[in-house]
Amino acid sequence: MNRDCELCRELLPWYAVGVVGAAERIHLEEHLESCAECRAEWAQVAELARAVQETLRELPSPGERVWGGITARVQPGPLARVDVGSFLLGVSVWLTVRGRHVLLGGDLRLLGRKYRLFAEEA
Amino acid sequence: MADRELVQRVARGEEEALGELYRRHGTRVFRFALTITGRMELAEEVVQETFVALWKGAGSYAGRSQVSTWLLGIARNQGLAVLRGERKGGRAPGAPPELADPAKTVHAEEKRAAVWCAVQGLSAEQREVVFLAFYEALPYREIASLLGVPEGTVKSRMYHAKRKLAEVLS
Repeated sequence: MNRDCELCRELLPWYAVGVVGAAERIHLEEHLESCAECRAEWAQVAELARAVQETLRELPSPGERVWGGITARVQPGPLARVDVGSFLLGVSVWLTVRGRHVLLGGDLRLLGRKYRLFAEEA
Repeated sequence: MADRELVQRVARGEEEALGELYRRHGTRVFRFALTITGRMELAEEVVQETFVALWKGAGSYAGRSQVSTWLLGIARNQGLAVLRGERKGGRAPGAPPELADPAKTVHAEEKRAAVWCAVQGLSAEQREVVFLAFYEALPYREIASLLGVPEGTVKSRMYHAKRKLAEVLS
């Protein structure tokens, strides 16, 4: 196996999923035309890539409890909060900690939905 | 709305933007985590940690890579941390992922199960390269950047992974 074969075989997995650069692709395709051993390797890699892709695409998605766990952790109580109005129409101004930042924010409550008015570093 | 804009909104504390990013990228992060850890409950833990890290650190997104690639980088760090914790803690093995789709043939299911077992037989470093190349279709340069290793290392990991997979599946 010469250096051209080595370069070709290194790139075959990415060629199989269509993400090699134009110059590399031209070089690789020219080499495949002239090298029977690399063509055999290409057939094997293409089949392998297809099988792995199919398998990974059949993996499940995360369950609903995962998002529930995330929301539970990203909703810490505010340091301070002032609410004016009601559930149907109202405004809240709050102060909270996000990572290393202290944020001052305001929300508009309209018909049960919350709309962020602003959130700035305090 | 573009992913980058959603990240900016997350940095301003908008939960709705976090939810949209989760809807767009939760499954890819979960499948990546599952490929790295091999276990459902650990993959779920990684997804949670990844999106909580996004919530806390959205302001640090510099826009040098796609948001999806950036998230996979976070997930990778979280996945490796979870695996390290596993080795120390020695938790009991969990259930393998359910790959079966009732609409598909038994033969196809058996083949996918065999491929999954073969992938899980690779090292964690090889598994992540296989996922990023074959599932995400990321060029080797981007994979190298995401993993923080030279391009030659990515190619080498793939070369050995490919040989091992071919041996097991032949």
